Amino acid sequence: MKIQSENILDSLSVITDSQLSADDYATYLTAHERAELENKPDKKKHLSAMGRVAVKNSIRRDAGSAIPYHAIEVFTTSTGVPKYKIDNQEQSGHISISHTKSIAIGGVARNVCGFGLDIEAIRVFNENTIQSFMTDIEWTQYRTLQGENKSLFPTLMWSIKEATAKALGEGLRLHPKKIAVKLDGKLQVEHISVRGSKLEAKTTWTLFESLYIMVLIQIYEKS
Amino acid sequence: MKNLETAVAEVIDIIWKQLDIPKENIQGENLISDLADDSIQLFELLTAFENHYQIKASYDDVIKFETVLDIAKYVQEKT
Repeated sequence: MKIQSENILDSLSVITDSQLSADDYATYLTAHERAELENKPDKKKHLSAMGRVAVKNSIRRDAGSAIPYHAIEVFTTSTGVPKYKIDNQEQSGHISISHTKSIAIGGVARNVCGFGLDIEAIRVFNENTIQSFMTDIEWTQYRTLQGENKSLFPTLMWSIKEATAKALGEGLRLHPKKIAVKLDGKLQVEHISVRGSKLEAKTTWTLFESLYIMVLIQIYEKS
Repeated sequence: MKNLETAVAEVIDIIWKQLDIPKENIQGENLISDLADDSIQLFELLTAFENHYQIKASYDDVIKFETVLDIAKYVQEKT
């Protein structure tokens, strides 16, 4: 199977479980960020810290200078959208964070209307779940696939929908069936429609370590 | 109308079956998003509530629930 040639890994930062320990939190996270971590359940605390560090690495790379980690503060709005400040000044760039199992990714984008990342471990879905998040057209396409494409399709479809919902700032509040994804025979994204309107967007995805799918979407115009 | 205790027990039973979390670890004040490992699990759980209670038209309501108790109160009112 051919995957898209553009390497989306160039556009984001990846942190694995082994690259960060709890002893490192004070090095990378502000006091406010560490306080927020304390409100998370234990099983999500470390992944959340990894996501913050990943996105800070992207922000530092985007800025082209070695901004101290403590000068960057990542926060979440009341609607769940991640934002960031540098030296206490809110920045206009869009950021996105995603994590699964023992890996987290983060990225930043400018001159876009929306930006979303998602990483998912490739998994086997039961058919009821697939039908509950895919449109009828997607479900029909899924049933025609065979081999590796068929096994990747549900995770890829979910991941594209989640990245899209994040880029629109809606998350799971936007039912996945309201996002219609058209993939070609090589599972490349032809277009995405939300509530019946086509998005002006660029979507790329890749396999990572043969276990994960990473999706990146940049939205240029919201209808 | 169900009493709240019965509704909480039902909701905990669905979470236990869906997410395989020991019942004793699920409390009324737990955030639903904290119980699920990831967004797919969270979506599957919300869908399980919709299907169990036949509240298919109200995904927009279901997604607003924050805690186990929120769902139990909704179930208490609607069933």
